[in-house]
Amino acid sequence: MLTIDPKSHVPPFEQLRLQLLEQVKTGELAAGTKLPTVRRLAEDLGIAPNTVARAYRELEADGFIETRGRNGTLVSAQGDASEQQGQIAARAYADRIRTLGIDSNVALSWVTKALMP
Amino acid sequence: MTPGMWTVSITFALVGLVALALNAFPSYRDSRVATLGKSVGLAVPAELTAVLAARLTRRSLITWLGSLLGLAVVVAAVLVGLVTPSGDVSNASDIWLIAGGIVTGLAAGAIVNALTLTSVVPSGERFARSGAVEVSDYLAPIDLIGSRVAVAIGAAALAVWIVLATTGAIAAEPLVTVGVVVIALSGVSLVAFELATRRIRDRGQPVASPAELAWDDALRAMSMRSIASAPMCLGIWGALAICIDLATVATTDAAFATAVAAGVVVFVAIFIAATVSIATKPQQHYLRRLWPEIASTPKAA
Repeated sequence: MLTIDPKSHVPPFEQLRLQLLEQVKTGELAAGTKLPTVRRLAEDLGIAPNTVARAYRELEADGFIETRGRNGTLVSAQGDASEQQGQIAARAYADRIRTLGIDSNVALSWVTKALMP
Repeated sequence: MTPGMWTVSITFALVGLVALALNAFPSYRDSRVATLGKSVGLAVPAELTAVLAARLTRRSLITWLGSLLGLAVVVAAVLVGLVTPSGDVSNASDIWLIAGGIVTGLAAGAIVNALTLTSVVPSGERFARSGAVEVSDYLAPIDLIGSRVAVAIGAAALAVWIVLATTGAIAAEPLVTVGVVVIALSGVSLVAFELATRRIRDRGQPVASPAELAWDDALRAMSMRSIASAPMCLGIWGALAICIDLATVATTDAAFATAVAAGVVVFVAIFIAATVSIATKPQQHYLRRLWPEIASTPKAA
């Protein structure tokens, strides 16, 4: 979830950038997750599209997100090559679990068991 | 129009008028919010009750008016012989037209309601989802894919009808039957469904709390399901009407008539199963997709 506080002394673009950055770093936004369009997010948060575009631009410059033309803006995989592949696989698994309507706690327990030596 | 169909039409119109009138009572509006909260799996925060009641009332008014308008258009079209150029509206056929007019009007009302809703950006703190959403987050596969499959089934039945009629295998007179009209309508409603659901998905959701966002998602999912009902019902009904027409004109060939009758039974079984499944399932697909933390929370008995 993203929040914008118009009364905050922190500029809206910085509020947005910091929250997205935090969510990417903590894995709340997994690699491959599609972000809302600039226009849509601006409409949701009641801020100018340029403000969202600036936050996206800075995150892209830092390698946290990437723009793939018509596919939109996606969260980049972080870490070394093997960690990136692991994150992409996790994203695919999460998408499949959501499609099947399986409870996330159950899905997590399966992963835990599968990872047991 | 047969007397029986006049009865069905007038009864539906009266039920609609009663439903519209009920919205004038605040206690009814509040009870609808509470009932819907259970159905969609969301608690009703006190600060949102009035807003939700107003949105539900608006939705109810527009969709009921759409249904009644759809019914009125079909009845008028049948009476002046506009829908069936041959004027052949048999006892079995006009039910498809009337039901088709009602669901088409309902879907059109749901589209108008969802796309004309104006939202105001909150003056205080605002919330937004950090990930993009898809139509499939709001609609379960049975609605999303089912509507496309239903229209495809209708189109296949129409193709069989046209091939058999043009090759002279059956005496299709008239060629443009009620089934053909209903299937054509299902194609139009599918295009409207595809366009409208994407427009609804792309609309902004300025909200002042996550609870408000969850409720907006629930109402969007409801609107999309209403819109999906038109292609799904019309596709199946059109195919069924064509099958009945085929059975009627092919009575001389016992094997063919039996095959068509079996097809009708299968269609009816699928339709009843799908209707029961959709009607009895809580409308919580969106909750599992967009709010898994709420969906996984055990509900109080």
